[in-house]
Amino acid sequence: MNRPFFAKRDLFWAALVFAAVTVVFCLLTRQGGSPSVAEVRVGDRVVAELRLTEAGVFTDPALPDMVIETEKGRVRVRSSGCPDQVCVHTGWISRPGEAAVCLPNRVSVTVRAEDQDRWIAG
Amino acid sequence: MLAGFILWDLFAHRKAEPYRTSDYLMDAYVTQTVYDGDAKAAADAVRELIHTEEAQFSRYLDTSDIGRINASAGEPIAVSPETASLLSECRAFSARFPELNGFALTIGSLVDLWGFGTDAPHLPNEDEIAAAVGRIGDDALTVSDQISLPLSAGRLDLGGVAKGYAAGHALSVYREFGVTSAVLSLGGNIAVLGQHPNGAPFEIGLRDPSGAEQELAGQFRITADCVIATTGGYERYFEENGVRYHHVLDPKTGYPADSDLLSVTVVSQNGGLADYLSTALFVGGKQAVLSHLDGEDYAVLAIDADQTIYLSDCLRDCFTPEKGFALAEVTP
Repeated sequence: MNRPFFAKRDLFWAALVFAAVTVVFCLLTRQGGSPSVAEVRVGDRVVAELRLTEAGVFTDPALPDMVIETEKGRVRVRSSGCPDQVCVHTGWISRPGEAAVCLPNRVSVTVRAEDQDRWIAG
Repeated sequence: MLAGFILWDLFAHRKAEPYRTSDYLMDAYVTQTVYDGDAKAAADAVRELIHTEEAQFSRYLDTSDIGRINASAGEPIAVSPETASLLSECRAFSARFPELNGFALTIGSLVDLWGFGTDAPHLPNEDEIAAAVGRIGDDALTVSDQISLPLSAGRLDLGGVAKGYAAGHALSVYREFGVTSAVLSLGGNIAVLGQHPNGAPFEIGLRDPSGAEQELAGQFRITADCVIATTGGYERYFEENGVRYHHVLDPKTGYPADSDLLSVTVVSQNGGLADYLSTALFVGGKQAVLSHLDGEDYAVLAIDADQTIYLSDCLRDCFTPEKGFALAEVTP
């Protein structure tokens, strides 16, 4: 007895596998990849949170001679008036935990995953 | 069924993405999360509101109402309705709580003396402090169509109440734009409107006053419109000769409040009241907090150095302490 190469029952199993893969894909893509933000601090104080999905430059009187740039999910200190230029030479950073630090100005730019619905009183 | 799941996934989850903003206003980091209504227009209007109130209330701006009053002490000054309203509210709070004397509008000269708000805060000498304390007295302030501050009085400083007041105003603005669900964070003052669109209460963390910025003492679950205002000595301070001096000055002594509490949080629909009371009760300390736990239009939560939390009964069901913190058993 010759079994057909592709029986109706095979079609059923193929559709089931396809559906399972699709569902898993949807769940994974929905929960993963939360956008990142760059937290800009002067000393202990957070002066800005920059969304890395938005291209732009950030300047502030609290950050003397410093220009911070964001684009395409990454951030860098584009220019700084500090003497050592370590923060500028750090270049683009994009992964949560990465930081560009300017010790002379006591400024840090740290990438972290964006907490979508987290607020802290105090 | 598969197509249905994909459509549900696409729309049920991504449609509810709120409109978010972040700004630096009133010398503070400000975020807005607006879930419904005309979200962008509402957020823009709230940003403009805070910017406007900063331009009216900041005493560091020569053109602000408060800056002009301070510069023209001795002469009546016409101010915006918002400034007159805020000053009147503060006077009303002081009349309502005469037993609390930890808040003073005329504390500005004392704050200047200590250098808070500058790059060089420092410990003044005793005579200077005594002289500045002698100038504090809000009764000298005349609030009507025009504001009059005697030359001999201390300068005005609304730092202890302006952010909470603005946060409360923001709730009204959100409503005007059809918003029923939003959260505003204004330098640690949180304004909550409605509930999360998923039906759950908004969860608002409360900062651990002796921990790092992201460490929590507990979590609020907020189900009603309100402003949450907190005062603590950890917010701004300097050290001199090994002693830490925080920025919450006691108008009676002229020195940083010798409070037996690390932070006081007040929850109220009236943002100005919440901010006012959090300052006054922090300065007043534990006894003042314990005698003000049963407010009709506010609730109080205070944390001491033993990580004991004293709170109004109405907060017990909506506040969960973090590990290491304990709720005081007896609240008079």
